[in-house]
This record gives sequence, structure tokens and C-alpha cells, in this order.
Amino acid sequence: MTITSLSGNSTQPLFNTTAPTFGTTCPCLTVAANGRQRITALAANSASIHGSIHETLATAHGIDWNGKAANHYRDRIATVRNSLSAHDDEARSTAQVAQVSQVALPQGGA
Amino acid sequence: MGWQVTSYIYGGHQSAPATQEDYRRVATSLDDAGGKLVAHGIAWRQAAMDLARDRASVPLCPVISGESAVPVASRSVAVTGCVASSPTTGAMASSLSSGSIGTASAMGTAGTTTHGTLPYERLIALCNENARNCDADGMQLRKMADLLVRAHSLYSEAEWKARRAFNETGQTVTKAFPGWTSLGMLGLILGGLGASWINEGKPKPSAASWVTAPFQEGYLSGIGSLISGTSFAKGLFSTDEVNQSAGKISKYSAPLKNVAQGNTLTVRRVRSTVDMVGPSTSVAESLENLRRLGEDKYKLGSGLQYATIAVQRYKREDGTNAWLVTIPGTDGHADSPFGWEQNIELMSDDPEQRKQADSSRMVVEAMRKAGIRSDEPVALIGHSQGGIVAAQIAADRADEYNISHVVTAGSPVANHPIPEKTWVTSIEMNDELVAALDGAQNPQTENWLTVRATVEPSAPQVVEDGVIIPRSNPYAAAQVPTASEGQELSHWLKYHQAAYQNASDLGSPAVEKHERHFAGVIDGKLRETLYYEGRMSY
Repeated sequence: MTITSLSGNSTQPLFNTTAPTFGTTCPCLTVAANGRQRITALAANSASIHGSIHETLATAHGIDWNGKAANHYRDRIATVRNSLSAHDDEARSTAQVAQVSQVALPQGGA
Repeated sequence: MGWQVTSYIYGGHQSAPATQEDYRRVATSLDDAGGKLVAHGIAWRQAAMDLARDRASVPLCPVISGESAVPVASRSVAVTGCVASSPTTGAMASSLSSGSIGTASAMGTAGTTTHGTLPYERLIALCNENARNCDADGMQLRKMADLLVRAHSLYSEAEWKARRAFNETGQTVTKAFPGWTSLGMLGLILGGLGASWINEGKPKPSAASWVTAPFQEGYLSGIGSLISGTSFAKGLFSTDEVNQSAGKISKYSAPLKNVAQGNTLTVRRVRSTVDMVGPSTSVAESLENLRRLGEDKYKLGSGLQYATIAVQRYKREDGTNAWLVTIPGTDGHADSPFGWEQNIELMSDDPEQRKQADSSRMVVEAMRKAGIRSDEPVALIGHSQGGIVAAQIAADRADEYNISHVVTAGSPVANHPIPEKTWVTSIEMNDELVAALDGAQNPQTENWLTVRATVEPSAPQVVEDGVIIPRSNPYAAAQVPTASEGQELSHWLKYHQAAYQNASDLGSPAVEKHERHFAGVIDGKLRETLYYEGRMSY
């Protein structure tokens, strides 16, 4: 069983779970591949966005500003920074859940 | 429901331009980052919707649709792979659609059908959760950007210019079409009254003031230019049309007032049984003292009456005196020097007319009686008419007194020519008609700091298991203590106090510098608090 395409817009089956030599391919295969691709791309995009925001937050945290609101501001920036790291993991997990379906399945038969 | 105010700071000693630029860059980056996260949240939400749509897009597929239990089994389709390891294909297909594993080959007796699926339920839930996380973080960053912008007045100059242009346009239109603009204002007023009638069961002037707030200065300035006869061209470059018209009107109103009230002013020292105006070290404390003197003197049984001001002497470390004069607003009593007409005189563009206003004469007389010398630093704090008197004395008595700092709350003083040596801290509410009566914005200079605040209903306090949950951003706005349930006029001092509280909490360098200056003026030990009462007679 091999993965042949992740583009999701192919009419070819994504993985060669069973060679459709004498059978047919259900459209669900393409639909699932599209969905998987969408999630994978989003998760990758999350990592990229979070990475760039981390730099912004580091600069924002270090500005010269004092007082109650400034303390609150720094607390929130730190919270968001931690939160983004956690969300990175969550986005990765989401992608992994979508990728589970790419695991090769043992071939069976009727 | 309570009320809260959000403050914006104009003028004062701001950070250096390069520092401002740095703050602006950071604020823009934070706002952009927040925007990116919110957009990314939308993408996750869209993905969740797409997955749901995908799942329904192949209705005849027994695997992806999740409705395969009966059809697959009944058609005797054997599902291959790990999914097909059990003959109970219906259950497995169902597990596929809701669950964990996603690709299957269903092999019929006549051939093989290759299927693919995803754990849709779980993915949709995860996508939605990711979307919520992105939204929450994005909104947080945007709120922090807003906090930074407000604390450092990053766009105050642009806002000031835009508002000036708006006011001048309003003035020109009003002057050109006074009938139509007045009709428009009347319509807005009636609309505001009607809306409050529907919402709160009675028509409320506060609603009318709120709905007309953006147009008040321009409209009043236009009416002022009509009365004063200012030309269109001149009107575009001047801001004191209201003061010019007040000068014209007070030529008639002052003599009429003299007939009604008399023109003999008596100022006498009175005593309070209660410490109404206590020691102060800050603008906030002085505002509270001002509120107590204006609003609580009867309630607390102080023995003080209307038209009473307080003059406090502070002894500094070097042995010199400093003074703080606390001046409440209009009381409207028949023999009070703080009547309604005096406001018109105080607003005149003619310094001699301003000086003749009874309230101003009273305060100056009290200052003389208290023994304030011309070289001793004086801070004046006033609400409404009290603030106009403070500004007027700073403007017109600069040679007689060393007025170091003036604090005005809800006072239309934009056009009073206060010299640069006097620091001014003005607090105004956006929907407060009284503060807009000057038809102009306060000057945005280093010596003149203006805190302008908007009023809005606040969300109810969240209480869980008897514990008050703190607001997520307590500095986005300050709660107005003891505000009424319904909408009320924001001219009450408690609104200005909340506005100043919010501005102080922001950690604005401009507010801090003005605050330090005010505290420095009265930096000493309070030695005495003298109360003076004024009365008009024939």
C-alpha cells in the first residue's frame, strides 16, 4: 500500500490500498484526500503564522512601558505566547489525526 | 447593568517622536498578528464546514456517509483491510465515519470498490477548537494593541485633526443652512428621547445628548458664528465663535441678571462640621474632594450651603505655601453667584466680561481673603462652571496669581487663553453637552492634557460559585461607581472620576507627567482648609 498523491484534486486514488484492477474507485477517496490535504496545509500554516507571531510578541513584550495596564499587557502577551505554543501542538495533532488514514491497511479479500 | 468609560488622551508631554514611532510599529504588528490569527481561525472554521460538506457530498457511499450499517451489510459487501477484519461491516463502517481510521476497500462479490474516509467527527471538533483558540488569541492581541495605542496616544494627533475638520465642516454647514441643521439636530434629539422612552419607559435627556454628541461642537460653533457674524472664511481658521457670541449675548444677559439677582457679591468664610475637602496628593483625590463638596455637603450634614468653595493651604518643606482651590459647578439658586447666566459671561471672548462674572469674582475674593500671595503656587480644580472659573482665572489673572495647574472636569474651556506656564488637565465626556458648549476641541499642546472618555453600558459582573470573575481586560474601561441602572447624564463628576481613573491606569507618560506636576504644586502638609460662601444681593 503506497501513497501516490496528496494533491487531493486527482481522480486517482490517494493510496493504493487495493489495486482497482477489476473494481471501481468511490469518489469518497478523492473527497477524503482533499480533506486530509486541507487539514495538513492548515496545520502547516498554523506553524508558520505562530512562528512569525512569536517574534512580534517578543518585541512587544520588551517595550518600555510601566503601570497597571502595562503589567496586564505583558501578562497577556506572555499568556498568548504560551497559548500559541500549545495551539501549535493542537494543530499538529489535528494533522496527525487526518494522517492516520494514510496508514497502510492490511489487504483483505472476499 | 452598570456603566463604564473608556478614556483617550490628547496633548500633554508625550514620548519623543522616535519612541512614538516604535510604539506605533509594535501596536501595528500586534494588530496585524491578531488579524492573522482571527483570519486563521476563520480558515479553521471553514475547514470544519468543508469537512462536514465533504462528508455529505457522497451520499451513496456507505463508508464516508456514516449511514452504511444496513446498506453495506445488506448488499453483502465485504470490507477489506483492518476495517474489514470483522464480518460486521456495518459496525465497522460506522466506526470509520465517526472515528479513527479512514481508508477501506470494500470488495463486492462482483469486484473491488476502493473507499477513503476520515475521522470526520473528531476532525470537525478539532478544527472548531483550533478556530476558537485562534479567535481568542487574536482578539487578545488586538486588545493589547488597542491598550498600547490608547496609553501612548499614538493616533491622537490624527484624530484631533480629523475632528477639527469635522467640526469646521459642521460649523460651515450650520451657518449655511441653519434651519435644516437645526431641524436635523431636533430630529436627533427627538429620536434619542423617543428611543429612551421605549427602552427605559421615560424620555431621557442623556439619550438625546448621546445621540447628538458627534455634531454638538460643529453645530454650536455654527450657531455661534451666526450670532457673532463671523464670515465663512474666518470661521474656518478660528475656533472661538461660541465665545464671540457669548460676548455679544452677555452684554444683554448680564444687566438682566443684575436686575434679577442684584450685583452685590458677598463672600464670607463659613465652617464645615465635616471634613468635606480633605488632604490631597493627586488629581484623583482632589476630584473626589470636589465631588464631595459639590454633591455630599447636605447628605453629610456639613452645614455648608450652595456656592461654597474650599481654599486649602499646604506648607511645603522649604516653608513656603502652596494652595489648592476647589470649585464646584452651577447650582442655580436665586441668590447664588454660581447661577446659570454667569456661564455666559465666563464664556465671553472679552476678558473684562469674563472677570465680571459673579462666580469668578467670588473665587478671586475668596483667594484674596485666604491670603494667597502673587508668588505662591496655586492649583485650581473645578467642575462644570467651576472649571470655567478656574480656566478664566488662569487666563485673566496670570499677573495677579501664580496659577500653576488647573484641573477642569466637564468644562467648556477650549478657547480660554491660558498661558503656557499653567498646566491644564481637562477631563471631558464625549456625550457631555456642557463640555461641548465651547464648540471646539481643547488645544493639543504640552501644557494642556485632555482626557476624553466614551460612556457605554458594561457587561454584568460574572460570579461563579460566589466568586467574582475578574474582567478579561480591566483596563479597557473603568467602571462608573454608583452609576444608575438606566442611562444618565455623564456630566456627573463620577463619570469624570472614572475617566481619569481609566486614563491613569493606562500608564500614559503624558498623564503621569501632568499628575506629577499637579502633585508637585501641592507637595506639602495641609495646614488649613478654608470654606467660602458667596451670595448675590441688591
